[in-house]
Amino acid sequence: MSLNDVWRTLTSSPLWLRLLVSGIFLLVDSYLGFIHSAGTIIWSGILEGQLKWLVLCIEMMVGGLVIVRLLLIWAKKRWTSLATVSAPLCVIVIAFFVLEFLLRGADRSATINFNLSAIGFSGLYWSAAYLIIAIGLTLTYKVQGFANFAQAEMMLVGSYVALIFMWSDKFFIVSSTAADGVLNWELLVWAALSAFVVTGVLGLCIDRFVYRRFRIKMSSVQVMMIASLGISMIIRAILFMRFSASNFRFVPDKDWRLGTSTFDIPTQRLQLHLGDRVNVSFVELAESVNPYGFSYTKVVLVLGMFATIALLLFLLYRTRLGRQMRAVSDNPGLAASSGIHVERVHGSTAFLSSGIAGFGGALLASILPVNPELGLSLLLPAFAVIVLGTIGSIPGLIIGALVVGLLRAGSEAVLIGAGNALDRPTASGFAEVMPFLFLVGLLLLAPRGIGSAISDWNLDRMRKRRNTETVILAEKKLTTSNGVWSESTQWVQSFTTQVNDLTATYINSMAEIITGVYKSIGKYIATFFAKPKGFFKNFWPIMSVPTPMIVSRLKVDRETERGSWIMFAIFLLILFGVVWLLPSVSNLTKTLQVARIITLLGIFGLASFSLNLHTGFTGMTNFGVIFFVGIGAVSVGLLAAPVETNGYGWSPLWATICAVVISAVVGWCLAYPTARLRMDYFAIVTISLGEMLRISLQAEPLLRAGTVTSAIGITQYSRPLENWWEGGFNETVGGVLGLHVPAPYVVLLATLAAGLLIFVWFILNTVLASPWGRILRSIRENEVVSQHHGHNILLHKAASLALGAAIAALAGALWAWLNTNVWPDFMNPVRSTFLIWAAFIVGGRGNNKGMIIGAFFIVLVEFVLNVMVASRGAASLPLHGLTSYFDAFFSWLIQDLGGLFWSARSITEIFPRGEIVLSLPHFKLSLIGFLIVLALLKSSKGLLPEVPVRPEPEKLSTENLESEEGFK
Amino acid sequence: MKEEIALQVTELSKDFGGLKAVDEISFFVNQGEFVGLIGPNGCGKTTTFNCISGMLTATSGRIEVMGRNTTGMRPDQIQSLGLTRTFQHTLLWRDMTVIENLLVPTRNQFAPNRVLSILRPGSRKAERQRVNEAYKVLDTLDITHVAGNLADELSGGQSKLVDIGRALMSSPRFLLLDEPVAGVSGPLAERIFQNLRTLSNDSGIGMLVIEHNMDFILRSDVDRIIVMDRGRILMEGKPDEIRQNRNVVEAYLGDPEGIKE
Repeated sequence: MSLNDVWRTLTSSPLWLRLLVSGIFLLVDSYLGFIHSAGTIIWSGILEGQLKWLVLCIEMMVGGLVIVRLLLIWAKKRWTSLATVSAPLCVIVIAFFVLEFLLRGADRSATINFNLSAIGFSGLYWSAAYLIIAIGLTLTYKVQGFANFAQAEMMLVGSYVALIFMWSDKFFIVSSTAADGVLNWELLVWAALSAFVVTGVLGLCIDRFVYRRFRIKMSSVQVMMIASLGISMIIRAILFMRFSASNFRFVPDKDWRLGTSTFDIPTQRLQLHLGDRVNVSFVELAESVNPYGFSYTKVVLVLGMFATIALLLFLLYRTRLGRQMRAVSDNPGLAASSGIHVERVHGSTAFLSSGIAGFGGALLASILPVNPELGLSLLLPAFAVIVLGTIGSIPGLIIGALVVGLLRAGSEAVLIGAGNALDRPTASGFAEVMPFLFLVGLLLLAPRGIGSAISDWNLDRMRKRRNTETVILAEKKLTTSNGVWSESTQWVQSFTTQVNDLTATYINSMAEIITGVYKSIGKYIATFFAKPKGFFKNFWPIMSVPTPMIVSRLKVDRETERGSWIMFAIFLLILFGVVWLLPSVSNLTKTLQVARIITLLGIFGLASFSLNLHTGFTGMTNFGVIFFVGIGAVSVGLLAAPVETNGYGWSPLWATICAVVISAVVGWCLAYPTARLRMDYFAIVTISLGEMLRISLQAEPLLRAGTVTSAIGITQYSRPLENWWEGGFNETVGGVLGLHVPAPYVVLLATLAAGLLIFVWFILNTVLASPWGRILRSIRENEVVSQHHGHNILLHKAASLALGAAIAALAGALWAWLNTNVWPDFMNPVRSTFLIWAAFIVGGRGNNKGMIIGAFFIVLVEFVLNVMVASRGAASLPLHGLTSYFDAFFSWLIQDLGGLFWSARSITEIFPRGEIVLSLPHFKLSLIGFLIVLALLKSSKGLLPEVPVRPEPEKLSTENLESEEGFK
Repeated sequence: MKEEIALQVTELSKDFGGLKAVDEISFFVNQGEFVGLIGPNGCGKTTTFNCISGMLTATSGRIEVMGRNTTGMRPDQIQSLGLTRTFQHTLLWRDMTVIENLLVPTRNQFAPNRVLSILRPGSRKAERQRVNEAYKVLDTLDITHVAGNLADELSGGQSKLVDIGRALMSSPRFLLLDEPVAGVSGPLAERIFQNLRTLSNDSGIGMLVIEHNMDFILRSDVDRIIVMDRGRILMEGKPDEIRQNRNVVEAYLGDPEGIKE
């Protein structure tokens, strides 16, 4: 039997056998590797040192997951639910085993100190913190059906409302109150309640003005999710502009923040000894030293959030509004036709979900220092919570929150213990990513989350009960009709109806008030705009940009091949015109500027190509473009950095090739666990992967090179053709360009970027015009049907992911060369993934020409704003007038208009020197967010829509027929 | 040719939780045979189709397509045996043109060479042949005029036709058609059935057709009819036999008026 035969029998054998064989192989192989330094990984000899251990860890982890997956498949029908719920536990146990073997293999020992009460209670606190966002997410998911990314910003709005209350000095003056030992509740209660109302109304307004339009247009869930991304960008940018990036803490009264304001909880320490144990047992219960202090503020948050959940459960299952919500979530059309005011239900959902986030945000602000970045760092764990508990299920939500919160609290102890043993004192930084890591591991096991198991179990129980009910029912009637039972049920019933009526009247009256306010505002706005309408009508054609006129005159249909090209040329000319007009000081700075623009265009263009391949052609909503870009940048940097500073000293060419291959392999492998995930789960997994890489870049010594060990990031790597360029060619180019100095390296980089962009564009066009492109698009439209028409969608998705990842890695390489360093900061999704998404949306899904236009546009916005920032220096600089006008307007907004709402103190806290300046980078972000929403609202197809392919039949002439017959 | 069994279903069962959607049914369809599958709503017709096409895994039982056991096979592997199905709610690839919809299912997309066929645009002879073939199929279905339209823009009847065309493009040896003429006007529906009949006679494609309209299928020229009810096969036989047993069927379908429609 040859190897080929073995392979064939293995691939044609049933799934469980394949899983069993591969799982056992992985486990045994990694065990041999750890303990006996044998097995494939050691024998292959490619990997050495820490990399070897890393790969062994991954191997063992994967092996364990495979075996658990097998157990889930094998589990009998009635045990499936139990098995699914216990899957998280399995993941944790596997992780411990891996750690144990790793430590044994490396001859180390680690002591992990679990402070039991501390972990329990801070786990509770973390779960409450995640619930702030997760509750609203679940609610919008349940009723409106999309993942609302703006939920995190709603929480922040609540926090800042609380801060404004604090700064208003109405309740107490922060600087002058004494710690008198009496807790003052007034400010806390007022701030939290008004945060609830303010954010609720904000959420309602956003729902009315934005999401309702999408609902009317019957937009897809994906479109609404991306729109919420745009809205979150806008809100975050506005918060940045108003409150700056500094940290603030909400102090309800000095006494809340005292060290003594804690509940002291007696605790014990549990010690786990892993690795090389000498004379110590595995588990040891050590005497505790100090009781754990659980601060009052955290107690308030925990109580507040869990009370909210209880109220929400009551609302959903016991009131009319809740019934209506559930009806709308099931089938909006049917709900509408059965007399439910669907829009009102949507409105109250939006009000509630954002209000709860604001309420929690106000409470959280008294614990964590608040800055506009806080939202995103809590949003992703909140996604982990809701995915874990199956989106839309409230019992699942509670369990998910508790699991993720405990994991977060417990992992810190493990990471510190293991990190110290493995020379990684900074490992506790990974605590932040533990929720995602766990989520990814779990989704591999139970692709539908835990909540589905719970509801399955409930269904099962109900079915059983129904079977037995018929028998019991008769008896029940006899025995309970006169008992205490009926009285209590009657009482409960009357109580619930009363509450129902109450809530109904309250909600109705609130809705009336809100609609009343709307109407009056609407009337005012209508009269305000009534007059200028005519003016705009007459002058619009003159005022508008020339492109629409040209378009209407030429009657170019953008959805034909020719029209698409014409529009592409027009847009490109306009954009290059803007580049030409961008002011600069001298010939040299102009060259630098243009070269930088082109390089950035290359980077963003390549990244958008990758996104377009994944999302536009294959239909996988990839929010982790930066993950693949990051893999490219990190690999290029690490491999090309000098050996003496932790690098590998490869030449840039080989480093790039290797980076592209690594990224493609990672993309390919990613397809297997994630291909069956729902669209939104895939989005969350990919965005989590990006964050994981970013935080690894901060905390992992293996990903540091170029400097002394303590610094973060990768520097000092060699760049392509740098020596050749410095060796005289730069002077030649400088002479040609008329610079009078050697041309800077970025000129070479720009040429490289443009070349790569065109090359990849050509390759992509070729590949996508082939039958493969057609198959990918059919997978985007409906993958089930594609599979039934004979296409192995897993294979095609994997290939698409790999190709896109390779392209993104090229973008990452360019990025690394342009910036000469790879800092974790560049992977912040706000400054990378979301911008690429903006380019994708504006440019046009499924059209690579559109990607170039979109990327160009996004890059140019940045440069125009750079010019504006520079223009603040002197009145003679270009765009100075515009910038100072912006600043004056912003100052008016904050001081004169905003002054009606907030105190002067809240302004001086942020702008201490008294001059109120608009933060233009954040203004840009808000502009881009606005652009995303607008583009989606106006034409969801983008500037250059996808061109339908219409192959024509061949005209069968007689010659052709003859030749064909002759051929036969 | 007719003697060869194309599809053999043996004691197939499918449970959904506690609900037995399909309960130990057995039947076979020969190659070149044209068989109708009828039954009231929720009797398990579509579930049977889903099990055969690999979309659902059967709880128990055995399915053989072209003599090969398909247990544990993916839908695309089953399709590669020559079994193609259509869906009850027509699921075209909406943002693609009609002609592209027809081109996706063709076999040997990457012939003659996987890599070369991807990297050489437009000039391939095989691709030209595929396009010509697709236009021929559109011609037979009489919808050549919509070839360049997006599938999204078609009417319900037209999309049904495109769906059938798409199934034909995969050069099937066996077709599972889930209500192929629902929503198609009467005369056209009859013509489609006639065409399918001729096709199965001429090229020996076995066909299993779900049809809701009882009268319609009794009038049309099918070889056999299988009647399902509550997950079981109620009876099986020539249209004449079914017609004679009409009373039984009516009893199961409930309302005799509803049948005539």
